[in-house]
Amino acid sequence: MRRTYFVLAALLTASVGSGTAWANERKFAYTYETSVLPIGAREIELWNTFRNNRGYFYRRIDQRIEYEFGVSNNLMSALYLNYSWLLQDANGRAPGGSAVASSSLSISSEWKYKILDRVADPVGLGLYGEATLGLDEFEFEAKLLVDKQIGNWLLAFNAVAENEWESELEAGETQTSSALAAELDLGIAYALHPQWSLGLEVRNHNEIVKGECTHSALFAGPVISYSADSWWATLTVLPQITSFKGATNGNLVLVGHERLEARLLFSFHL
Amino acid sequence: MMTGVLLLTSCAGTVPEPTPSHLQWASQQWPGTRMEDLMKGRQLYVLKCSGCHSLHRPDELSPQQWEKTVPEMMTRAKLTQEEAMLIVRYLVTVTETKEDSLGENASTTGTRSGQ
Repeated sequence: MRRTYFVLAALLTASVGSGTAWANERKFAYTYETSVLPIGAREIELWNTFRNNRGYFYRRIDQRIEYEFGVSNNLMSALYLNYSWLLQDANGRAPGGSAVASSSLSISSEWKYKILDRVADPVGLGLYGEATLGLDEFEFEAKLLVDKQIGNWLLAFNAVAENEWESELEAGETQTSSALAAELDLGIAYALHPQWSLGLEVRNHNEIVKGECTHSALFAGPVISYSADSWWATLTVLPQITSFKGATNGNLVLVGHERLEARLLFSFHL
Repeated sequence: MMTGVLLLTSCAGTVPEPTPSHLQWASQQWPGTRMEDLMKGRQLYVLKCSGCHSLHRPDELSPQQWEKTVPEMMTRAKLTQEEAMLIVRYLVTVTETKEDSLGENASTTGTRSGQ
């Protein structure tokens, strides 16, 4: 037991560094902050999102490789290569109930503009836009970003609107459907140390069909983040805790959502 | 949600805009300093320094620490000599005048050398 404590203390001590933490490190895996990379700076960011259980066997890993770069002092952009792996119970559609595997590939372009600084100004404010193109889908997402640094506390809030257009081949004809979603994200983190922070993220995702909210799911869970001189990592575990509308399994929405999702971000500076 | 927004906006920015009292102090230290110089120094600090790390409040470091730290950041922040000078003068002015108003570490005698 004493040796365990010694090892833990040594690990924590080893993580103490005099390096400067980069502002574009993310303290939250789902909630965006207003900080941007300075002009000329570049980062590679790896995303891994694990999703589990839709009331039946459903496991999915979404991976993204992101190349971020500062365009000006207040503007940054990024390019993504997105890949998704899915293994799920065909839910009776496949004989014998065997699992069905599928995958998908898409690319994304992101732009983030910082309007106000979260320390220098009363509140941080930013705008975010992202477009995604896949083999059978096109998606556009816009976010309003608000955050504030108060001492060792960081608070962040996002209001998100997203529209997706999806094409399917049915009976030899291409059918296109559209889906609108609105999301509210909230993150609160405390800097335990210049390199470590711990916090909470809350996410409310709402599906809107013909102007009416059909599903509203609430997720909440812990987030931990570590940053070093040249890299950082953030992990959020986000179970669905309840729904406000459109529950499909008890009090949860398991159509289009899972019981649990978790996201690990890892980034290093170029 | 509105309560949260109000809470956020009630916390004023912690990198203050230069005031006439700041200018008065700065003019004594660096004759010829104009309000535009202090405002430019603040603007450069916010724009150039917030990309690499969350901004520090001016009072987080002493004037001597600012005079040492900002030049060390010139390469990373891509600052010219003049930009670094303006940033230092702004930060030192705000830090010194705050210390003076609190009656702590008053160090306003004489003219500062160098930057």
